[in-house]
Amino acid sequence: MIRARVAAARGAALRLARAAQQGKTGPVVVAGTVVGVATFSSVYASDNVLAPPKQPWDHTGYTQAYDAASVRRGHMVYAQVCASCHGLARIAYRNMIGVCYTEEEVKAMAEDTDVIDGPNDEGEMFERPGKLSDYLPSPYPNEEAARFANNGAYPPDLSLIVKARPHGVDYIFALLTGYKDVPAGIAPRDTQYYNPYFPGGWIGMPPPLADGGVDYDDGTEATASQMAKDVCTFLAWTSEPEADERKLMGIKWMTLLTVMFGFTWYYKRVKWSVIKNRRLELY
Amino acid sequence: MVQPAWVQGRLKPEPPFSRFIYNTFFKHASTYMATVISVAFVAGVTYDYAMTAFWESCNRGKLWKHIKDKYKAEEE
Ligand code: HEC
Repeated sequence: MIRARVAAARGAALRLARAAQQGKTGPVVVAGTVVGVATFSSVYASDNVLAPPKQPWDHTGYTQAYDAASVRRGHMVYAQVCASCHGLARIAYRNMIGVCYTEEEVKAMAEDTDVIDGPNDEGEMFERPGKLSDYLPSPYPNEEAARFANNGAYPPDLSLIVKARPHGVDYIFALLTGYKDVPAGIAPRDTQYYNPYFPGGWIGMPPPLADGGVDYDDGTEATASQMAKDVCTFLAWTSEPEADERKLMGIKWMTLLTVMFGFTWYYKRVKWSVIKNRRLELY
Repeated sequence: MVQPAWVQGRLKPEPPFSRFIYNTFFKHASTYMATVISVAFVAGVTYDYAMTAFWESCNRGKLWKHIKDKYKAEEE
């Protein structure tokens, strides 16, 4: 019995070793994939939250850039809807130039805001119109003010929200479009809204998007799901403004490294041919 | 005398093209370095250009440079 098991184990080990010798990586790849999938796509029953469905974003994919028109519309949604409660403190006006607006448009936008600057020569703070290097203004001076205005819930800064939540844009999209009637048997609440995609199911944010809530300047019809899609694309950009450049770099480097690998492989074969063709005679 | 096969291989006359390449680019350290540097420069620029063209063809109509004129036209 024990002998048989030892033999079987030895057989398996030998087969693996032989497979490795022959350059067969199949088993290793399969095992790696299983472990990887199990690790990164776990759903826990204790989450008490609905897993957001995957959406076909046109900016995900190794060669896919952000859709600039959608980013632009998304900024309009942010500016006209979300900005009254959420800050976007890590984005400066200048960051949007050449991404979704022209320099003139952004300048005009910045000049519409009042920024507190200073102190001046007399030590006084003063107000001035915004300029390109200013960061987007936050709606509340501090967290306490934000909580006070929102029944104790804190509307987080949205600059990095896509990176800061599991499932990223898919989650934000599901959250924005996922408000539901309170299910039968559950008592409605005064200051919270039922949304199965938010952990726990009750969120302090009133449903922000309604059909026609935003004026788009490119004639796109502003349905709630269109606005949600656009604002998600915009927030994906604010979270990773460097993604386009990074993907282009990735294409360049991976292609080049693949070619270089070919050369290296060939070089190795050439250099080793002498060694591999040697006959060892042992007496 | 019969030469071993690998010596016979060596004794074949060198093809004129590779002789030309060798004499022009590889023979002297000066031309060799000049070749390396200029090929690196030209290949780098070409590669960059080709890859950027590929990127833009993957994303036709999505990049800001493709659509910015649309908004300018609307403003006027
Ligand atoms: C009336 C104010 C208000 C508006 C307008 C508003 N939000 Fe919120 N938002 C909140 C509050 C309050 C919270 C915190 C909710 C909580 O913690 O229960 C919140 C939370 C969030 C969260 C975080 C959810 C999480 O997982 O923690 C996201 C993302 C979000 N809002 C996105 C948006 C977007 C996008 C818009 C614009 C379309 C928007 N919000 C408009 C008040 C608002």
